[in-house]
Amino acid sequence: MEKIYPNSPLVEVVFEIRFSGEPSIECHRDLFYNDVKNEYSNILVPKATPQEFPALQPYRFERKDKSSGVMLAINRFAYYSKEYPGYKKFKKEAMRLIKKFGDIYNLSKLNRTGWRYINVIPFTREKGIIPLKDFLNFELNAPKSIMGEFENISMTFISKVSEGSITANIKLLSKEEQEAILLDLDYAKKENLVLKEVESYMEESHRYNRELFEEFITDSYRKYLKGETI
Amino acid sequence: MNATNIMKIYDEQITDYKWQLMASYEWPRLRDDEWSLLEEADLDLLSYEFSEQPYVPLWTISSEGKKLKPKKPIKVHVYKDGEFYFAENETLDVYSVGTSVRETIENLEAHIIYFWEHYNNLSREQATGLAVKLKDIYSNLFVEE
Repeated sequence: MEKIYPNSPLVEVVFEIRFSGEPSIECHRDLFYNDVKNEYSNILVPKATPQEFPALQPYRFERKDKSSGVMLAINRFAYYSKEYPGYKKFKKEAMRLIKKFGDIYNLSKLNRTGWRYINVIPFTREKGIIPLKDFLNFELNAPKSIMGEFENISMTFISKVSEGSITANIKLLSKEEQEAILLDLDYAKKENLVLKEVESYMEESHRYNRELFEEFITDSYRKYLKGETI
Repeated sequence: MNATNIMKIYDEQITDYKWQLMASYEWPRLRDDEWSLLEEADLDLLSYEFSEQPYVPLWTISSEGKKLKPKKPIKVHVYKDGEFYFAENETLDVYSVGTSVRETIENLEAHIIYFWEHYNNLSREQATGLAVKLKDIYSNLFVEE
């Protein structure tokens, strides 16, 4: 059974499927909404902004308590949870909704699937430096004149793994003087995907992403997450 | 209970903790007439929210030349009330206040070091009540570096 740390930094988990543009989704969002509105009654619409492509912006149908919801647009569908209940429950609900979605809009082929863990790690600076090494096993093979002590950080990299790719974002966030490290991990698959196999894609993506997270965090931070603190 | 529909405007303004992610990390392929090819122009907007009253770990405690290493990270509750910031740890029975997060944490570290010295200098016979428990905590959980 997947363990959830008592001091987990997880703020959101998302599983998304993408497919070639399907105008019926754009025109008949009501078909899906009517099927889920008893649970996901809140409708959130995207704000129109310049330079944006309106058709690509997803609608959200969200629970009243905002704990979870779905996003759907002309070329994507996602289930997200802001209060992650554990993999088993998340998967059960995601699969239920994906099946509904696939049946209503008659989907079969997919372009991409992605499992995303979004972690936000509050910290305090040590002599003005982000204490990254206390939290993450991450080093840059940089010139010696770059000491590896960061005042700010913002990086993204994509790494090919056996049957997919990992996208990692490490970035400094701040909110009213409180700072945090964003650790955003996305495992994606893009080759030869079909809707009927989505459960296996989810299994694989979750497994890889979880292993990556465990490799990313230091042993001392893991102790903190487990609650081994003063 | 009948479901109610609530139409909200989903805020997509970029703030310090919201950003737009090109999920496929490919620039949209625009044609000459500036229409985007559907399959490639992906924008995935997520907001990263974290608690307004987060807990932060402290791995070392330093103040005025003294440095302590706790055997376990110290979990500190940081929050703002009115104009001031507060930081506290119940186990160590220590609290601090300041006008910024940094100042508040620095004050907390100074208090921890003060109490570490105080309880180390306090003999067991002199300690009563909570002081006995705190003496044990401060004596056993910190190592001077």
